[in-house]
Amino acid sequence: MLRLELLRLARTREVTTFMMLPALLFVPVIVAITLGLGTLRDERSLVALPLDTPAELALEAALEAQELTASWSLDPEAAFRSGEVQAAVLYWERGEGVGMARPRYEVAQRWRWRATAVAGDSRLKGRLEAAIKDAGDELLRDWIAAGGDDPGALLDFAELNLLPIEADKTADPIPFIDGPGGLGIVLLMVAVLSQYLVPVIHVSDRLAGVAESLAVTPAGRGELLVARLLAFTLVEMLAAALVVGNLHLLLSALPGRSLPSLVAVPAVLSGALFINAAFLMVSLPSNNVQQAVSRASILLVALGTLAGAGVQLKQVGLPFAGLFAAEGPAELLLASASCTAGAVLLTAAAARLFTGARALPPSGP
Amino acid sequence: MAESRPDPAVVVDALRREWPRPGGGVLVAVDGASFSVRPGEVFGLLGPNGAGKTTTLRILATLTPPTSGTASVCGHDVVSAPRETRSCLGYVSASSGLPPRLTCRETLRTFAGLQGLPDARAAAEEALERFGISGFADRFVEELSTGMSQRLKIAAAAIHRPPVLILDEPTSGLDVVAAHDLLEEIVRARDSGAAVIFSTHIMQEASAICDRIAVLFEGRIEAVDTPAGLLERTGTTDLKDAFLALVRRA
Repeated sequence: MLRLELLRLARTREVTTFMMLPALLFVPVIVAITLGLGTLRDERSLVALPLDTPAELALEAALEAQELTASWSLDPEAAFRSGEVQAAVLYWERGEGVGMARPRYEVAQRWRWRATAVAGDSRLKGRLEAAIKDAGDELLRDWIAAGGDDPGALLDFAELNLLPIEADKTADPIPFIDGPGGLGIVLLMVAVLSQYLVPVIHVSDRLAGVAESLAVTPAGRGELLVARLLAFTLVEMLAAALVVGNLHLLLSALPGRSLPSLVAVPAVLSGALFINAAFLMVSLPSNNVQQAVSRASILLVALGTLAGAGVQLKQVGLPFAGLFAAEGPAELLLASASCTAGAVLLTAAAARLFTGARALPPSGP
Repeated sequence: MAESRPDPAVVVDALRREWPRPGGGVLVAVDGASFSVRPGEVFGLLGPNGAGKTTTLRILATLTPPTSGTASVCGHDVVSAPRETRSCLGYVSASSGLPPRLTCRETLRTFAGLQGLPDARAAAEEALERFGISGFADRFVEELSTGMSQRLKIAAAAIHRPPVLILDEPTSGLDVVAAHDLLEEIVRARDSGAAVIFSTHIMQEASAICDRIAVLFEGRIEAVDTPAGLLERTGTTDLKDAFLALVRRA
């Protein structure tokens, strides 16, 4: 049964038109629009630097190499939050621990600093990180060369010296792209696509008499529904994988790369199952595609509202993303279990509702 | 010595189905229908539109539950044992369809799998030959003509060689040649021992292939007899006249 459903979905035009194509184009189009808008503005982003930035780092030149412009500020954080600058180094502190690598270079710690910075987007953050790293590298190489050693032979040592920027998570406008919430965005997209796919396929089947032909075989109606739900969900996961792949390729953002994020994968899967089961439920009593789609639209809004009411939204307008932006595996496991239970209940209810009469074209007695 | 007759494959007893009317009250689609069909027999349900033919057949196919009365297929009650009932029947109606984006071969393989046949691939190939579909086995269902599509529907419904075949106006929309071929399929199924229940409102079809005919009118069975018996009973020489006489008498 699952094979039949997958084969049919693979050859259904709506799957290509409403699901795979948008999944493939969604991220590139957004990126293209963003880049297009970016070219209309000054490409160079302003980075606020605190006044105590170590002069020997020559950070201005390193920023310049990354096409960033330094802007000295008494309060870089305030400048970032007010939108005057697109990124900011909040403060510097002395690095530690280099001396453990090689005793001879204990004093090397004098030449290293740790920066805490914030940035408007992950690409800008990457450029800022690279600028600070480059500046630190250069300084360290100079110092090693001044001691009569070959800086090239000490690359491992230099690597140890490069301390990462600790981004201010709470200040990031889209904090969940790289975390579990990134998968929430994918789920949101899946939900929007399913809203059309599930009713269109199901009601078309009923109108064309396919449901009737299947309903007179010994296969149980529950089996038919479960196979259909699984097939829909697998196709949606494929679309989701396309979106995630695009995010990774084009934005270097990869939802689900941390351990808690991996826990979000089954949560998204069960979430998609739940949404599909809910859409199937509203499709069963519908007499035509338009009716089914409009009911599914209402359901999507209702589900979004419920999700929004259930959690404290961090981002208005992204209820599912907000739901999955929960930090930590426990919440995600709970969400996963809840969605699975909901999907099972809805499927059982749908199997009860999917009587022979519901398999017939709606032409009356 | 009298030849022993096989037990009926289909038994319908005092079957009744009511539908609620939108304005209140009920519409009686089937009103106390009783009949039985034996293996190797083509049983025709003859009646005008709205006579209750389709509802009766849908009850037998477990698609619609009866309001009262009983019906069994191969000894399985259609209400209490629907899965067993479906496993021993093939059902095709004018409104049934097949997945449009599957090929004929894939469709038959799928239905063989749904019927639980152990070797779905072999069963599909055998059905392609048996129903003369081999020539367009790899064409998509949506590309088939009405006649070819109807032939494929019957092949899919009968892929497991069911002992009972239920066909609801199967020649609807077919041209003369396709309808003739289809009737030949029905006769072949009958000859292979299947009990065939066949509904139509075309008199020539009924008189050509039915061993017995039930005349339905407004949900009631007015008469059940052989075509010759109906003519004798009404004193007519033509099945159409016999049908009209029975209907007017009702």
